[in-house]
Amino acid sequence: MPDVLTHLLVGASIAIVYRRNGPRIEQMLIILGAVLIDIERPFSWLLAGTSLEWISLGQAFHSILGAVVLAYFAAACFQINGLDFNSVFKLILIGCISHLLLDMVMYPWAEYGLYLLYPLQLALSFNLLWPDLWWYPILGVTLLLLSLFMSHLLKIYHGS
Amino acid sequence: MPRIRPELKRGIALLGLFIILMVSSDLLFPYSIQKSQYIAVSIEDIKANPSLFEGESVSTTATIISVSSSGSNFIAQIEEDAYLTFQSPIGSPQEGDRVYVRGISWIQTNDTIIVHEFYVLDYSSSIIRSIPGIILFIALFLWVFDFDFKTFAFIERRGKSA
Repeated sequence: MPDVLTHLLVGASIAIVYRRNGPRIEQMLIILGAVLIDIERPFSWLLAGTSLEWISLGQAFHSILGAVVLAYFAAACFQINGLDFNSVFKLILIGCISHLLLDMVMYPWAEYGLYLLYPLQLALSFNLLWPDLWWYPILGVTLLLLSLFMSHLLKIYHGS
Repeated sequence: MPRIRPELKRGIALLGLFIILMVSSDLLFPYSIQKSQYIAVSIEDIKANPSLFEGESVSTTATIISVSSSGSNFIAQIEEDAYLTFQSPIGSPQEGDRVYVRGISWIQTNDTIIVHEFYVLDYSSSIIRSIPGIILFIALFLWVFDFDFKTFAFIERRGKSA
């Protein structure tokens, strides 16, 4: 899986394009979703430290059902004026989906398990790259710059 | 003591149900359905049942004990009688490297796995690379949101919205 920085940068890129004219708060909810899926990592590390390694924790959260549950729970933790629960949930879920798509790029996940259809333990992946390559954050920065450029072009085109 | 909002109650209940599902699915369906052409297996399992994996595509992790060369190939020892053979165009790992490998197991006949692809695992650098992301995320989050103890919810930080 890519590091937190790469997930954050990809989430920010999507937020800039998708909520170009939206308030910062909406963009931040997408970024939150993009890193939220890995919230199990500290718990997994702690469990690993106590020899109670629970691999299912990571597998379950890295799934469509896991993304929906986490996005729902996270959305319930916010109370924002002018944004109803469904909008908050949707924005966080968009970020979560970006996280899953990015993780699916890497093929060792297919062997060890990106179970999108959890609890069905069917490993799915695009089988393209190894996880955790050092240049992933550079890819994230490139995407962010492209999205800023695209947003700027759209602003000029729409005159806003 | 703040009153817990109905949405938060539902969120906690949903998360609780999901954790129950995780535990029960672990107990009921402990084995995965593998779709990859490479079988994920430990080197210990290959050595314990070499005939089962002979000529099969396997994916495993190992620590390189020593590296030697034979013609254009690099041979890395990973166990007392188990080796990885790297053809030079895909590179050669160093002694002490922890590697992910994909290849074909010939452990039974030649004590070796012919490596198709490999990747040197580096957890310490992975964690170090994650730290800037975590710091940046916390900074951005606190820049935009504030925690309201009255409603027990994250709310918009005043004057920070575009």
